[in-house]
Amino acid sequence: MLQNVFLKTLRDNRRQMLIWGGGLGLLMLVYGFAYNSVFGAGPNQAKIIEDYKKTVDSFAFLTGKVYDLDTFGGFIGNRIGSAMPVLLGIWALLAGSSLIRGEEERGSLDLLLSTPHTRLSVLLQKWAALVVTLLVIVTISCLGLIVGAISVKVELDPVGAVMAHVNWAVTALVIAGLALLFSQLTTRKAAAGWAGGIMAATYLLNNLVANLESLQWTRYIYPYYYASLSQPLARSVGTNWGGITVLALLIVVLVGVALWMYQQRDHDGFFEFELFKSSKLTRPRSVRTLTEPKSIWLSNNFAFSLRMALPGVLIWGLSLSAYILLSLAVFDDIKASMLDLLNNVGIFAQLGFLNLTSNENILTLFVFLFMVLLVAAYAVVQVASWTSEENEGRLELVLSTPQPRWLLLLTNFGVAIVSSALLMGFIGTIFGLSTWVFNVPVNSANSVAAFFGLWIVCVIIEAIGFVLAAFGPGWAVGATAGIVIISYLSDLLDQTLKLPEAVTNLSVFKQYGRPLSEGLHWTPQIVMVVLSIVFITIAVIRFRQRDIVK
Amino acid sequence: MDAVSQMAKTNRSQQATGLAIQAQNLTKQYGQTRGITDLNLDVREGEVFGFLGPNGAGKTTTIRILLNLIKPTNGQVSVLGLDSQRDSVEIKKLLGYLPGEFSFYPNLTGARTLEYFGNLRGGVDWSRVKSMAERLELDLSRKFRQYSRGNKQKVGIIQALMHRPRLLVLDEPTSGLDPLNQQEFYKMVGEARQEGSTIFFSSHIMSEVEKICDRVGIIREGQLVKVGNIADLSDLKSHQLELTFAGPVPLDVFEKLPGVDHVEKSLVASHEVLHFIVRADALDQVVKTAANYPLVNFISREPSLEESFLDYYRNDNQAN
Repeated sequence: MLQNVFLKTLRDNRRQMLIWGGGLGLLMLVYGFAYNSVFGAGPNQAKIIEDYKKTVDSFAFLTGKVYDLDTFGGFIGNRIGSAMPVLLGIWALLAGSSLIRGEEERGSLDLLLSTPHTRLSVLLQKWAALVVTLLVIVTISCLGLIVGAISVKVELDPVGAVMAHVNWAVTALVIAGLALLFSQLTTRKAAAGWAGGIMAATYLLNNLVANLESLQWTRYIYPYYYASLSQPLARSVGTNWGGITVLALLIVVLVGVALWMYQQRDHDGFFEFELFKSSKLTRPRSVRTLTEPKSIWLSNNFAFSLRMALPGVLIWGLSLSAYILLSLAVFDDIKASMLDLLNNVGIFAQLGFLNLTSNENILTLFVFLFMVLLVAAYAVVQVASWTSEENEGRLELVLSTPQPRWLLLLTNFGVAIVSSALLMGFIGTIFGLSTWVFNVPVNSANSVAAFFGLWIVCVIIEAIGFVLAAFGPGWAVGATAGIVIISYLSDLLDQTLKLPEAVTNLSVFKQYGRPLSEGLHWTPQIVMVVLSIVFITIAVIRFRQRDIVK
Repeated sequence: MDAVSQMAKTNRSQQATGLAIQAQNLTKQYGQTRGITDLNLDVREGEVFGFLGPNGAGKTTTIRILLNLIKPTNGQVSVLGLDSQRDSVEIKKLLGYLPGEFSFYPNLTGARTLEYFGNLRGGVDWSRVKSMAERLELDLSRKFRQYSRGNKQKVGIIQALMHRPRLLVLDEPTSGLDPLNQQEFYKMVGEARQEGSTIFFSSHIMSEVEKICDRVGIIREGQLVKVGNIADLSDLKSHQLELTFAGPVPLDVFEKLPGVDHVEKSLVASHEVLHFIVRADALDQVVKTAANYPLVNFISREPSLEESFLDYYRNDNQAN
C-alpha cells in the first residue's frame, strides 16, 4: 500500500471508508425494516400510502420533488435521498480541502514533491484516491440497501440503487472539487468553511426555488439541481445522464482549475490573481517590520483562536442568511402552495409532520428542519479546528508556555461555543429583520428560542467532539460526524422505525424539536447543557493525563 | 520597572539551588515499544548540558517528559526543584523550549507569532525580540509559511529565548541554520549562560557540543550510558597512534592489548609502521609494550569528540 502516492493516500483513508461506509451501509440496511413498519400489509395500507404521497409531494419545496412513493425505491429516495447530498457533502468538503493543503500544512508535502513526481501527478493521484475512497463508501452503502431490501423481501431495482449512489457520489465529488479549488486560495480550514457555506446555501436554495417561477432560472447554477434531475430509485424518472454529465464536467473544470492554480502558486503559498498581484507593492528583503504588533487578537489564546474562527462564522453566516432572506422574500408564494395540505392534517401528525396553517410551522419546515443539520456541520468543523492544533503540531509549542492544559482546552471550547453563538446571533438577526421587512409575522419569543436551541445543538456536538478529541485527536472528527449523522437520521426515522423512545431521545435533533412552532422544551435543553458540562469535565480530566501527539 | 522587566528579573532572581533537572528511574514505553528505560540524570543549574545520542535513542522522549507533554510510565522528574507534572505550569514560566520539529500558524507574520507567544508568557520585552531578530538577520514582516526552514528555526529560537528563561530546553537547535547564524546562536547561548540560565540541549553536531557544553550525557537505546565533563570523558576519548619501528614487530602483541582496536601494519622506507586506536585508559600499557621494540617514532593524535563518539557506538555495537 506504500508503492505510490495513490495507494498511500488510499491507505490513509481506510478509516474513513470504514466509518462512513459502515455507517451509511448500516443505515441503508435498516431502511428495509422501516419501510415494512410503515407500509407493511395491513387493512389501511392503500390509504397510508396515498396519504403519505400527498404529504411528501407537498414538501418538494424542502426536500426536492419525489416520485414513486408506493415503491421501496421511492421511499428511500424520499427518506434519505434528500439528506444524502449533505451527508456525503460533509465528508467531501473535509476530504477536498485537506487533499493537498492538509499535507502541505503538516509539512510533509515538500518532501513528497522532492521525489520525482510532478505536482500534476501528485494532485491527480491524490484525487484518484479520494474518488476511490468515495466509491468504496457508496458501494458499502449500496450493498446495505440491497441486502436490506432482500432481507425484508421488498422489490428494489439493483441498477437503480447503484445509479442513485453514483449520482450521490458525483454530487459529493463536485463539493470535494470546490473545496480543493478553494484550498489553492486559502488555508485548509477556510477552504472547508467556504465550501461548506456554499454547499449549504445552494442545497437549500435549489429546493426552495424549485416551485418559484420567478427564481427558477437560478437553479442552473446550483450543482444540486443537476443531481435532482436523476431519481434512479424511482422507475418513473430513472437516471438523467444529462444531469450526471453536467456534474462530471463540473468536476473536471473544478479539478482542472485547482490543478492549474496549484501549478502556478508557490508551495506553502496561495494562488494570487494577476490583477491583485500587480497592485501589490514589492518590498525589498532588507525592510523588516520590527515595531511591536500590538493587537487585541494576539493578547491571549481565547482572543487569538476566536480571531481564527471569525472568517468561518462570516462565510457560514452569509450563506445561511442568503437562504433565510430568500425564503422570507418568497414566503407568500410558499404559503399559497401549501393550501392543498390543509385537508391532510391527520396523516401529517401521524408521520411526524406539522399542521401547516401558521407562519411558524411553514418556516420550521423551510428554514429550521435542514438548517439544524447544517449548523451541526458547522459544529463538527469547530471540532476539526481544535484537533488540527494538535494534529498539525502547534499545540506542542503552545503547551511549552505557562498554559495549564485544562485552561487551554476550556478556552478553545469557549471559542467554539462563542463562535457558534456569533453565528446564531448573525443569522438570527437576519431572520428577525427579514420577517419584519417582508412582513411575515412570527412569534418573537419562539424565534429567539429557535436560534438559542440551534446554539445548544452546537454546544452539545462540540462537547462530544472535544471529549472524543481528548481520547484520540486523530479520529475524533470522523467519530463526531458519524454521531451527528446517526443522530439526525434516528430523528428522521423516529416515526418510521418505531425505535424505543429511550433511543430516539438520544438524538440532539429530536431534542431540538420545533421551537419556532412549539417553543423550546427547556428540560431537554438543560439536560444537554448539563451533559455538555459533564463531557467537557471528562475531556479536561483525560486531556490533562494523556500524551500530546507529536 | 515595567511588568515584563520585573518578570524577567524574577525568573533569574531565584538563586541556583543545585540541580536544574533531576530525573530518577525515568521510563517511558509506547505500548510494546521502548521509549526510555530507567534513566537517571542530573543537570546542574547554570551549566550547558549536551544530550547526545543517535536517532531514536530517546532524546526527544526525555525532553517531552521534562515539558510534561508526555507522561512517564515510571519514575519522576523535577525541573528547577519543581515536579514536572504537578508544577508543570510553574516550570513553564521559567523555561524556554525549542522543539526539534514545530509548526506555527502559516498566515501569521514572524512578528505576530512572537507577539502572540510573548503574550502567552505574560508579555516580553519587544526590544529584545527586535535585537535578536537583527542578530539572526530575520525579517519579521514575512508570513510564517513564506519563511525558509532556517528562518522558521530562527523564529523558534527567538520564541525560546525572548523571555530570558531560567532553563532553556533546545532540541537540535542549530538544525537548518547557516554557519554564520550558528555562530550567532552560540553567542546567544553563551550570553544566556552568563546571565545564569541553564541550557539543556540535544544535538548530533559534536563540534558544537565541544564548543559550548560543560557536560555531556550520552543516551543509547533509551538508556543513559555516559555522563561527564567534556574534558573528563577519558574513557570516551581515544588516541590514534602511529608507531614506527626500526625492526619487525609482531602484530598480535598489540592486538591482544585491552583497549586497542583497528591495528594495521604497513611498511614505509624499510620501517614497520603500526596504526591503531587506543582508549585513553589503555595508553600506558601500549607505551610500555612499544618500549620493548626498536621504536623510532611515536605520533599520537587526539580525535575529535565526534570521532570518539562514533567509535564508541561502533565498539559498543560490536560488543553487543
